[in-house]
Amino acid sequence: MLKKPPYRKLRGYAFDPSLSLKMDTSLINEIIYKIPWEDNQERANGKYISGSAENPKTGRGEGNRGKTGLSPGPCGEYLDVIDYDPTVNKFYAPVDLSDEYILAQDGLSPSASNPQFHQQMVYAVAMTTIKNFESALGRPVLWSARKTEYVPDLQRTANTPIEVDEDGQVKKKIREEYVRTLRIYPHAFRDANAYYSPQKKALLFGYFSAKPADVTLQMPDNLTFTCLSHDIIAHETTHAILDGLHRKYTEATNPDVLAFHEAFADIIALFQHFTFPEVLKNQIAVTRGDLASQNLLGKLAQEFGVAIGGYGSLRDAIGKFDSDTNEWHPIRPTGDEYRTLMEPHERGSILVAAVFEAFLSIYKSRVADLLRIATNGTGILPQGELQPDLVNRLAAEASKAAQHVLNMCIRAIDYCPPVDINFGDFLRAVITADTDLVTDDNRDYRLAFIDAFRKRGIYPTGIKHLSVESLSYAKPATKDIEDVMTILVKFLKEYREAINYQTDREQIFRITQLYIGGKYDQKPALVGLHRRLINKFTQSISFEKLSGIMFGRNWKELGINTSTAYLQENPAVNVSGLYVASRVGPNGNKSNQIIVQLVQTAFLKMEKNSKGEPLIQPATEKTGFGMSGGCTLIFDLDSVILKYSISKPLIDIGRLDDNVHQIDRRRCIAIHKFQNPLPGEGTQFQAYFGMQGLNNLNEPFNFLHTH
Amino acid sequence: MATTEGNISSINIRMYRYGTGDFFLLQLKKGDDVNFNLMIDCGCIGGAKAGFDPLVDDLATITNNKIDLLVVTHEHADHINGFEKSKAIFSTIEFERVWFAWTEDIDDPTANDYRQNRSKVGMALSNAVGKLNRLTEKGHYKKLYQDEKDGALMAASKTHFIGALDDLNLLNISKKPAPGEPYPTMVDLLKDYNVIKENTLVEFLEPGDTVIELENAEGIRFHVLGPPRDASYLNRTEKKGENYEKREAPSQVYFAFMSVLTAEDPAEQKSNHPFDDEYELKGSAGDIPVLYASQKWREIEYDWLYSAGSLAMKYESSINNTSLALAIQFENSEKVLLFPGDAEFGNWQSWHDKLTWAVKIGNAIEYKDASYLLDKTVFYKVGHHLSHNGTARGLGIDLINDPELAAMATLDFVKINSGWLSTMPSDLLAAELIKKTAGRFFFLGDWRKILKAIKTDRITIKKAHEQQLEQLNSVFDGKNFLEWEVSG
Repeated sequence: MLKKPPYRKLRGYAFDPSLSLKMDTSLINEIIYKIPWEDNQERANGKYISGSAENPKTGRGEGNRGKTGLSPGPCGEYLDVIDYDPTVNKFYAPVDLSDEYILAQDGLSPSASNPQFHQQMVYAVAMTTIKNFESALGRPVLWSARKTEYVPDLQRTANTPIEVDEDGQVKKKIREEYVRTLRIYPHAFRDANAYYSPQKKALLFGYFSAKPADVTLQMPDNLTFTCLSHDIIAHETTHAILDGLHRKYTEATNPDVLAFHEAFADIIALFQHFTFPEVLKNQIAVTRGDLASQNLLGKLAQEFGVAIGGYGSLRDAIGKFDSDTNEWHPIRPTGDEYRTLMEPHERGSILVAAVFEAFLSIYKSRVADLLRIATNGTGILPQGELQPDLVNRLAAEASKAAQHVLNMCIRAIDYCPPVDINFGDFLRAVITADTDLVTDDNRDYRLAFIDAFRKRGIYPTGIKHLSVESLSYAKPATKDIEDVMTILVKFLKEYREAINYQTDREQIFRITQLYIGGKYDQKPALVGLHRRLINKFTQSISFEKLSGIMFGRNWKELGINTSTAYLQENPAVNVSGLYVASRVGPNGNKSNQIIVQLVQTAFLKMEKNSKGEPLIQPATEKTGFGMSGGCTLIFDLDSVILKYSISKPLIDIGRLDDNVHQIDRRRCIAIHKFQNPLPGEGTQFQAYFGMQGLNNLNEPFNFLHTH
Repeated sequence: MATTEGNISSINIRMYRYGTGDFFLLQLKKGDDVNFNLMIDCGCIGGAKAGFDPLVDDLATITNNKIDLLVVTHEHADHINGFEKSKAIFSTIEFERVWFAWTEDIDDPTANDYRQNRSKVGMALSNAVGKLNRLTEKGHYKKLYQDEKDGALMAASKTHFIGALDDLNLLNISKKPAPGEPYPTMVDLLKDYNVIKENTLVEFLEPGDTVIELENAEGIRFHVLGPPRDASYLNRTEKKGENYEKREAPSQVYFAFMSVLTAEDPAEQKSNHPFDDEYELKGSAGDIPVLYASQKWREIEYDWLYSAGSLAMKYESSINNTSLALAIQFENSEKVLLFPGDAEFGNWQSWHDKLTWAVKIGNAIEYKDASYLLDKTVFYKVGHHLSHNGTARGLGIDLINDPELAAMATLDFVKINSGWLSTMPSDLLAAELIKKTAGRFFFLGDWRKILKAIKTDRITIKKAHEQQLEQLNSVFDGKNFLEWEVSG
């Protein structure tokens, strides 16, 4: 019996088609992506079993297409590529990756003129990105759930009261629907853009006619397809994955939130370059081992950058072209960047450059001994090409360092607050996550991060000085709620048991929903995490202090909605995430953690008092703006404790000891100010077409990329 | 009665107030007598006949139905739609001479290229906007989002987007050419409206030109600042620190988008297909269209049309940059009245690019640059309705320092483009102008409301300046114009 192959091999561009036109890069630009094998869909009488939607009328459910294996599209477990071009109203024939001829030659050969290759390319790169996340997170990637509203069935909800809104209408309930596949449209529109749509759970790629600044780099009016760029596909896929982990990160509440989305997407795309061995070796040889000099690995979206009229790539982590001299030069941080650059992409580049610099320091320290050996201690490499063995060794170190940095960044995502993230929070998350898993930081990876962030003026708030110790979060004070916590951890352990060996993504989603929301209308009943939190922590000042969320009595005065679930009035609070994180460190030490994200929203109005100072007043969903606060709770299952509470408080923690509950004034004013920009702040496009705080409801990433 | 003796001694500037848009009458006087009537633009966003007629009547009356010079700055509706709406009255007014920018000259091949290109952008935009407007009319978004959480808000934000786009498109007065005919110019439009009559002299001006000795306007020099001849300036809009580096021309990156919207016959449509026919889906694998259509919430039928948003903005800016920008100068005192139309950053920047103008100082002619003209400016018609990109900073406002300076802004909150409400007024620019004019700053719309919008937390206005502003503006409360006189 033959074993299943571990991989499906698919040919594709390492970067984008433009590099195949240059002599020096054409050889390394065509690579083979190794994608986790998805079984070919069964065929009946040689034909594919057609997978229509379960209910064509409501459009709910996605049917079996791709569920039982990879079908033409490609459509598999995670992705569903539909090649429809609405600008000319045409569908293109889907590529059948199971076709024996295609299988035998590792997929279609790269070609800009064959749309089936475009489909193969988006599938290959998006799957590669998903695979990288799964191996770092240690759990399957789930797309963010679709939130729909429905009118509750009056009969079935006998034991929960029917709620009525201000206008006397029965309040609709919100349902979270499982979305199995991310839809990919490789040819969705005609513009120099590509974006992730949180509403459609889809990636939309555009194509456009080029306007090169230098016609020797590209033919004018040549079509440029964003779906053929590794960097753009990886970037957009990362937006989708991040939205599945932190849904609130599409809400711009400070200048860093969307910039973080952008930066994180760029970081993933950049570090994926280091997973292509031939590219890496080539670039190590070209740069003679100095990755801080101009090289392909640190550049993003080269063809796109040239096509919209630039001299080089769209973004570059280490340098840029001077538009007058057309010469590349490295960018040195000034320390002012974080304070002065506000446009999300520019701001995101600060974070990308910081992480890349951390990588470079790590790489340099890892290869220092190799260079000493190769140069007999002089540190000066001989003229001419590097010795191939040295190139291989340097490449191996670069690849390792890149993998470490990538993993550190992805792991840190679990240690970020659920709302209102800033770059300082991310730095603390990287340091804390790494300290948790790697006890002995003998290569000073953490210092490399701290140093690179410091050079760009990124300092977390509320930190006395920059050191690994002060940047790692401390264990929260749980003294008088210790017993309750123990019970909670026990419950979370049950959740882990239920989910531990589950590989089906839909089951993981359903079980998680069940443990959050509970089950009350069937036996055996299950009291969910949400109800447990409310029952256990009603009016618990200790829990309020560590979570920053309101559990006290006067929530209505603070503009917080009322929940009448479980037949009693409570301040509304949302469990926005529940994850298991099981990780193994380099020394074999394991960490078993459960991550819980809580979010609470207040609806507020900003007025002015007689002195002209801002006055925060409670409002409703219709009359006010939403301010969310929340926390990420990390429970350690082995020591049965709440290890961290990483919070962005909704309420003023400082006043809780005086038994005063009020909105966190500093955060509230900052959010309001940011969401109501003055003329000239923010982009002109946003000012014309946007709706301030509501932009997350109208294709936030399309807005962001358009300017 | 007009006299040829002596020089013009003062200019009375009358800003007609209808709504956001420019409509000026400058009366050039010798002593107390009006010697020369100079009209600049006639427009208002969303303006109608009933609104324009009383103002144009007033214009006809006080000019005795004779305009010596009409200046038409650029082709946006908020500068020219009054000519059409009140064409009945305009047909009774004699226009001696009309000035346009060189971009309207049908004998200029570069200008014809621009216009052909602009006309294509305009057509593509109106087609896209038309398609999107039909969607909102049909209630498409309401239906599409009915099941979604926050569906009503999602539909509202789409409607807002389309409304803003529609408003932006209303600025464009486009006229499709007859087959085989060249693309129409504003000259053709104004002839159609019977503004330009048989004996009206039509002239096209170039940057660097200085027009002197116009009959009855003795002692006045008209220096032409823009629009620039160099196309690369037209696509530049304001950028922080004024170091704008992007050279994205809308016509090129958007070529594929525009060509699919303007394709007229099947052959042209086919040439727009990105791939060969052999790749199109046919026959057996037909479950993909079914699957696509079964999940309405994931469809992408109309999303591609939203690209019109950024195209419309770039298009607006590049047309603003074709504004005929004039510096009107008294020979004796060297004082300048600056009328930049809606020039954006690229236009302002081009004034400083090796251009000089013939200026009379004493009895000699000297060639002076833009900094000199800005330094001598005592009246400023604020560019682009007080938006932050209608006035350059380092190359503009920073160089205007005359203590006598007064300014007028054609901004109104009642009749305004919805997208402009969030970009106008620029509080920083307005505060700077209030300071520089010491309160001699006039607003077309309700000055109380505009002043309130200007007073954000980040700016301060001197009490004395505010009082001066109040005093000057309130005189015209309830009147349909505001006036300011500059003596030479």
